[in-house]
Amino acid sequence: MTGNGKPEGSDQHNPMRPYLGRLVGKVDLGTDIKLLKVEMIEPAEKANFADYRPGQFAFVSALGIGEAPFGFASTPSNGDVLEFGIAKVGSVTSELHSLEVAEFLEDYL
Amino acid sequence: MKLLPQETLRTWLDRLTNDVTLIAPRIVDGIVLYKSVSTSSEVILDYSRPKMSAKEFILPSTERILSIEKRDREVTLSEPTSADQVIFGLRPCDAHGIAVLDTVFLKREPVDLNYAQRRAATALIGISCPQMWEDCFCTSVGGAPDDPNHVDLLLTAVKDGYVVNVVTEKGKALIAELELQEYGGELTRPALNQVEPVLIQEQWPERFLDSFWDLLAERCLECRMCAYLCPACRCFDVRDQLTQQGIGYSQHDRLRCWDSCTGSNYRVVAGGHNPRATKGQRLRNRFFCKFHYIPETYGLSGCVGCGRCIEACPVNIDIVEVLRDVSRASNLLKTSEISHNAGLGGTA
Repeated sequence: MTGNGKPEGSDQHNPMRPYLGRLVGKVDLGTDIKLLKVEMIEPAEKANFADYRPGQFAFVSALGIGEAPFGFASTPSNGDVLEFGIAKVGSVTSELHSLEVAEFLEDYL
Repeated sequence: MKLLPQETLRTWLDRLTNDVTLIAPRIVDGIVLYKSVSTSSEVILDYSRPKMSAKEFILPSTERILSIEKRDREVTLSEPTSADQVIFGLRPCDAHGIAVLDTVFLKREPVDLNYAQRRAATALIGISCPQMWEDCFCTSVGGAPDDPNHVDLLLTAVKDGYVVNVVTEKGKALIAELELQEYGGELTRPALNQVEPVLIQEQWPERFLDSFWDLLAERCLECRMCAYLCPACRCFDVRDQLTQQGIGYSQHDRLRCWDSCTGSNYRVVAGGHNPRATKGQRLRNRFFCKFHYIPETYGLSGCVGCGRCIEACPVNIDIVEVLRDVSRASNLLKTSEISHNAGLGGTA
């Protein structure tokens, strides 16, 4: 991997560079709606998602298709697994629905 | 004041082309554009306003911001790096445009690092306009044909060369090895166009619900030319594109592409809802962004007064006319309020 998302002399993470997560669970909530459970791969990156509030959302990418914003359906008090309730309405959400558990997707706050 | 003699200018530019990518005004298919040049002989010095701004060298129309490589279940992400570049012959209005981009992408957290890298690798050498050209109105939006504020170096043409105004440390480094002469003459101020009225901040919200915007939008074709030519428009969309594919392997580019608030699908969200459903709402946003939202949020005009959108609009939507109409409406309303209040005995 080249680069770490940071320019020289800066500690800031590149906001356009997603954190890698892995799909750890997938639950059908209704017609074309699924609950996707995501866990950050790097332990250090879990800390970035340790505190989120009502109204905050994450951009979730279906790699190679695109990204879209989703509100969190989970609460930080339940641990490291992030949950998103996702309705299938377009290309990104269709791809997210088709992901198998243990596959990659990406996240950023 | 220091003078850069005409003949030194060419050798200096040639030396710059060896060290960095040099962007300069050049004739391409009969029109003047900022483009990369390989020798100083390609650079033209007698030009008015290039057809397009230099925005594309700081915020490209399509830019790869991430490469994604998928191999079985492993994913690798990598980012592009920026090469050093110098933009020479930048008009002050185009530099103002880059200043707007800077404030939006760099002034507040989180900083856009793709932009920050390219911007840090870029030096700006401006050349004062000897006059304001047709459709120019930079003086109405806080600029001037010889405004040194947003460049690293500003050159102003005099007989036999250019007077050099060193604005930043970056600019100082660019001319460090040059032998400049003393210039004892005077600089003539460029000829100015008439200053157009621009509403003060507080007046814009009062114009938000005017039917004027719908009337204006009746002729808008939503071609988005105004946004693409604008040195200060910086909205973008992000999408992924497949570049290579094999068995268990694929490569994608994440691209950042120019977008425009006047496009009908700009604000459409999942499910199809469009908070700016009418053309009038979208066109109104264009003007409010430039004259109200950007100045109020960042303290500088979101319009640089270059007049390119006036020249290019296929249906003659003229930003200066819009400003005139909006301020006339504002003043008319004020007058009628005053007479109304006077009619009530002036007790209000």
